[in-house]
Amino acid sequence: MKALCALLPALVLLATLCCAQTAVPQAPSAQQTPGSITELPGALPPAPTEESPQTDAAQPAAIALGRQVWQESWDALHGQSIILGAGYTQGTLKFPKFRGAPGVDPQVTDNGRLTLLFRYETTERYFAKLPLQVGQVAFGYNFAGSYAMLQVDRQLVDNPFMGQNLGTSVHGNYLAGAPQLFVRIGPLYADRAVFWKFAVGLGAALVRLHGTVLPHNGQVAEPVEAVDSEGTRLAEYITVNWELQMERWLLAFQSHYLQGHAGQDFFTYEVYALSLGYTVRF
Amino acid sequence: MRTAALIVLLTVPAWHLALAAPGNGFGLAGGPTAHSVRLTFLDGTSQRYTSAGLGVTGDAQFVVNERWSLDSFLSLTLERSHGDVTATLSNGMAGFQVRRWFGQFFMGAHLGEYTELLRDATHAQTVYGPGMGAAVGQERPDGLIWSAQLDLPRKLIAPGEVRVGLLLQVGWRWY
Repeated sequence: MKALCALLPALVLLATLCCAQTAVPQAPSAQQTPGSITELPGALPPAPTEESPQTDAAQPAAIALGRQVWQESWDALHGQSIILGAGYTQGTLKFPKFRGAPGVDPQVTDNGRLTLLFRYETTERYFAKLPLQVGQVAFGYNFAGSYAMLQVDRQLVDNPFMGQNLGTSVHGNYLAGAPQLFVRIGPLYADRAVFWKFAVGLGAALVRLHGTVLPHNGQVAEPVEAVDSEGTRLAEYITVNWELQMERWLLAFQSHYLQGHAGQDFFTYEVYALSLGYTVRF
Repeated sequence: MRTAALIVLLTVPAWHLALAAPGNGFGLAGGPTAHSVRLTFLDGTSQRYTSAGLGVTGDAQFVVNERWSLDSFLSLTLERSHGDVTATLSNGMAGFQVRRWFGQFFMGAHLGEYTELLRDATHAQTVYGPGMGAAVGQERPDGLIWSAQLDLPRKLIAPGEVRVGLLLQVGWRWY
């Protein structure tokens, strides 16, 4: 056993060296990987390493040229944008303390449905940037607005997420807008406008809704009650977006939260959506 | 003890011979996954179930430098549960991971939004909430990647709730 223990380090060393020897010839830095940025015109030079310090006088020019390539992707983001698309959404409308009664909280959802995506964003402004090997991390702000339909017709009974068709439904729509803070990272490839973005916004929404609910979830014997915003009402709006932008295409996970009053009733509306959209900039 | 120290002393320099920096790119990986869930409700009752199946992850890695990278990822699993709940379920995750690199190897920590869609003979439900996790793995210069990921979702379905997920993956990164 002791002999085995004594041999173990040598075996580990031997195995590691073997791996290293097979890896090193094929294991250049990421910049030398086939298809990577050094093979692109004007791509970034390899980052300086202890093994290969950069003393070439042409380095600053190469770096500037490399930056110019990915900077074009960032420049293409400039301007206002409209995003049109479609996605899968689940929205849940809740009335805590319905008609002022504690413990009475009808909740109606849609169990998930296909929806259209309409979104507008102003030009992005950045207040801090951190360099990456390719591209940068940018912290910024802008304004985002969206329009969506509200269509819930499944009342929650004994499940907090999936509702049942009990003959109740609420329909409406909302126009929401919010200044948002975001972090944008990219591009993923030097010559491709692929970005990741995470944004959080706090703003307001104009909401219209009307329909019927059962005051007590699941008690189908009781009469339904009408809910109505009585026109357009102002509501608070919170939005969180996780986005992957690929050229002009956008894959987005979004959550929206609205709260306000419909007549005498306080309501909240929670939306979770996975959407694919196309971006038009102008 | 001396043997362990010797292993470290001899291995670490050799490891560095195999250094290769991480690279930017899309990645796709998949493999076996398992979750363990214990729920304790307000009335004192509890449910416990485990599930196993397959998972797939797509990610985009942004390299900061040779030692650090940022990784945004999406995971989706398909599993079958056993225990107090027997159902088909799917776990999803949208997360953001920070990785520390040691040559081709990395250790990462992440935050994310987790979902679980559970469907059995009588009902279906979706739960969601934030969570965190950690991962270790390797990304070879030729594109081959593997990782082991531990997740701790915090879903707000019950006051006492413990969820642990494990995902082992092999895949490819397009540099």
